[in-house]
Amino acid sequence: MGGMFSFCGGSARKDQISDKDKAVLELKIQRDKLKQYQIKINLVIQRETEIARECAKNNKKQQAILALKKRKYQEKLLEDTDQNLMNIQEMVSTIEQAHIQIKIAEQLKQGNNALKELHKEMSLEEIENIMSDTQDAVDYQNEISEALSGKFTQEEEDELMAELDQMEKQQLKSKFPEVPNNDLKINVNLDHVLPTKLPSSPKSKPIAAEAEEIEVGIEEVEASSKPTKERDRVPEMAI
Amino acid sequence: MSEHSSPSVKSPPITSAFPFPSYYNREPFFTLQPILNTQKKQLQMWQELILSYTRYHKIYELDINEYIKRGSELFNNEKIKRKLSQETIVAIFNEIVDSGYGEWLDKDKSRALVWWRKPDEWASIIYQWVVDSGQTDSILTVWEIQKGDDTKNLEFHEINTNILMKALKSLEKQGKAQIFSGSENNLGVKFFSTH
Repeated sequence: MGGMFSFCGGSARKDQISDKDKAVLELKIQRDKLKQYQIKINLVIQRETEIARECAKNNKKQQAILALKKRKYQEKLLEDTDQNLMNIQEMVSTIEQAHIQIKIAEQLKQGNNALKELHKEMSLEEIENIMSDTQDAVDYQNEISEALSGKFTQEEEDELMAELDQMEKQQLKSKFPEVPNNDLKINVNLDHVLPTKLPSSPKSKPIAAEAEEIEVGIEEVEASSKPTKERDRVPEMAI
Repeated sequence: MSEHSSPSVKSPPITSAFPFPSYYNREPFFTLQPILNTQKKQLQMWQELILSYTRYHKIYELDINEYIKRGSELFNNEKIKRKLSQETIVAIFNEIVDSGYGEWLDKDKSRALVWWRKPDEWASIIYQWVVDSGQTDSILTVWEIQKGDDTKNLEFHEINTNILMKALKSLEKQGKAQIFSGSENNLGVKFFSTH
């Protein structure tokens, strides 16, 4: 056996086997042995049971009882090994748990150190400066935003104008009814509506006389308005 | 070789429910063919049969002389009254070893390992189980891999120690495991998670 497994030494990752690993291996080897022992005991129990049954059948009462007593003893051994197995399993679990806890503690310590290093790189004063700088920048940005708000680009303005045009056109359309497109073919006899001769009224004067009257009227009006100016001037011209 | 290598050597099955292929019932199959091409084909068919038979029965290691002595069905077809001669069996196993599916265990060419799974295949199956059961970074004994309650329903339960050690060595080469010995030459393995 030794020859076959001699390659175990000198391997690259040998260093990864710690004393804890060796301790666990020893415990587990012990557990394996107990399990093998249990297999053996179980075989003995089986055999004693068979012997007892055989003896009982052949009326060998004493031998049957002896076999049963032997079986009882083996069963007690089995119980003891169960207890031992449990103790070993507990020990293995405890070691593994302790190992995990150590690893966790180490990692927490590392994390703590890393945190400290990070804190060193940034003092509280610096943070305050940065925060106030940031506030200034935010204020400045707000000012810029305010200054810019309400102003549009040429493009946006063109768009707005186009929209307005569109709205106006639509409004005009809704004000006037549609002009029918088709040709109207209506023949109205206007003779019924308009008489060819105007009816002559007996009261009315001939047109020429009427025109004379109007002319006279105008002259009268002119005469009544002119003299005020002429009357004012006359004395001057007379001198 | 004490307790570690012997437990998985089974006595040869005399008869079983193994579904033999139809060519197993043809007489010429049991006589080594003189024409080289035919013989080559015949040896390959025997190799296939032996690998599937040993896989079916989970036989990892067999003793040819024992199989002949017991008249195991593998080399002895009762129905057609034909059996393989010892020389023919050796020729077949030479072929198996040459193709990388086995290994002679002695100079007399009687005992041989049959690898219906190659050690590398076993290595990845075992490593997968270790990872899936969260056992990386913990210690396992070689015995518990073979016989433990946790492996009872797994393919490698009761695996031959010789093949298991080859598989573990392969994992060691890949940096996935470390074999180390405890008291009384009992072996343990520590499995690593791959980074």
